[in-house]
Amino acid sequence: MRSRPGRSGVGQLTRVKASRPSQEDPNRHHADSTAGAKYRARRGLSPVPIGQWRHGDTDETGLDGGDPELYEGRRVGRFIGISHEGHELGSLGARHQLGRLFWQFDDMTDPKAEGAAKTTQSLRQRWLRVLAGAQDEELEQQASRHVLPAFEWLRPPEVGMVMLRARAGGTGLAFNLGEATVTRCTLRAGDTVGTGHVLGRDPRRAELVARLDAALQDPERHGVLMRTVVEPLEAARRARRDARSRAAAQTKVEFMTLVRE
Amino acid sequence: MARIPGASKLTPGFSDRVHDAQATFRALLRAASHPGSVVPLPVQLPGAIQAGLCPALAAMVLTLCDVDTPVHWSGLDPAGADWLRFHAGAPLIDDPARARFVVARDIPPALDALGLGTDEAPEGSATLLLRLASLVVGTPMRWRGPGIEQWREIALPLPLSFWASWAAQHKRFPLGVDVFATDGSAVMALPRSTMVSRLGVG
Repeated sequence: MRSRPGRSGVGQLTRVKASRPSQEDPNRHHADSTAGAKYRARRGLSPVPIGQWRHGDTDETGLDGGDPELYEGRRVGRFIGISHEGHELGSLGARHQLGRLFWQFDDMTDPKAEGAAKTTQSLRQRWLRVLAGAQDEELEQQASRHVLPAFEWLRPPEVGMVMLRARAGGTGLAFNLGEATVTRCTLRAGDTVGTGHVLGRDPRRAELVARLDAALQDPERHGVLMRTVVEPLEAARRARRDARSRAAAQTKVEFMTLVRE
Repeated sequence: MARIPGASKLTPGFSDRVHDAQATFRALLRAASHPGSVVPLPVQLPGAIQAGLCPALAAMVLTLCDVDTPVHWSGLDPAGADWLRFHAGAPLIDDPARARFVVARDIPPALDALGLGTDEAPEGSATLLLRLASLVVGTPMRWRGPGIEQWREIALPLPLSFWASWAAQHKRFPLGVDVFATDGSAVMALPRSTMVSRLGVG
C-alpha cells in the first residue's frame, strides 16, 4: 500500500478496492433463471430444488443491511438440494452470515406476526441462533444433562445447500453470496415442532438442535433451559469470538505518514 | 410460546424419502408408458391420511411437485395445505390456468381452463391428478395411441363432456394436458398422445 499526502497536508493511504461481484449475471446461482439452470448443468448439479423455506407467499426479500432486528421474519435463502455436496464456506464470515440467516429461517413462522407473537418469534430466533452456533461437544453435553422428550421425525436430517443472499456495498443491489452446506431436520415432540438447521454435514448436531428447540418451546421447561443451556452457550460463543478478534487485533499495523512541507 | 398454525398437526411424509419417491415415480412412468393399464402405487403414506389427504394423491404430489411447480388443489383444507407446503414445498395457488399440477376429485375441471403449454415448451402444460371412485367402472371408451397395441377398452367414471374436450385438445397435439387418475391404491395414466373415441367408431 502506498501512501501519498493529500491536499490538506495529512497523509492518507490508498484504499484497497473492495472486490465487486463479477460482471456475469449476479443471479446465475438462482434456481429460477436460465442462467442458474446452465450454471448448475455445467457443474453437474441437480436442477431441482428440494424445498423452499417459505410460508405460502411468493415474493422474495433479501437482507437490508444493518441491525439484525430488522431482519425479523424476512426470508433470505432458498434451500437447494444438489446431487453432490458442495464446498462449505467454513470461514468466520460464512458462519456469521449463517448466524444471521437463522434469524429468518424459522421453517414456518408467520412473517406477518405482530406484538406478542413477534416477541416470541425473536426469542425463538435467538435460541436457534445460539444452538446452531454451539460446538458439537457443548451440545452433546447439554443434551445429556437434560431429559429431552420423545419425538417422531417429520423430516429426517437431510443435507443440502442454502444460497446466501447479500447486498453489495452501498448500492444495496442484492446478489448471491454463495452456497453453504446446511443440514436440516424437523421433528415433532408431542405438541411442538422443533427445527434444526446447522452449517455443515452433521445430522447428529441438527437432531440435537431440533430436540432442544422443541424442549425450549415447552412453557414449563423454557425458563430452566434458557438459563442452563442457552445462556451458557451464548456466553461461550461470545468468548470464542472475542478471543479470536483479540488475536486478530494483535496483527494490526499502524501506519504513520509524513506531513508534506 | 407462539404456535405455528397447524404445526402441531404436522405428520410425517415419506418414511424413506428417496426410495419412496423413486418407487412412486417408476409407477407413474410405467402407467404413462402403457396408457390404460392399472399400476399399483407401491408406497403407503399414513401421514397423509392423518392430514386428511388421499394417500395416493399425496404420494403423487410429493413425488412430482416441488417449489417450482405451482399446484392448484380446490377444496383442500388448511391442515392438508400445511402438510403439502411443508413436505413438498409447492406453492398452492388459486388460479388453475397458472398451475403445473391440478388436483381434482371425481369431477375434472374444464380442460380449456388449464394451461396447455406453448409451442416452444409443450411440457409446460398442466398435469391433472384425478381422484376417481374407480378405474374400471364407467362408460367404456376406446383408447388408441402410443403405448397401446391396436386399441384398448377402458371404462372410467368421467362424463362425455370430458371426452369431447379431450378430443378437441387432441387436435392441438403436442400441446395438451396429461392426466393421472387414481382410485386410492393404483394409478392409470392418460397422456395427451392417447386418442379416445366411442366404442364401435374407427
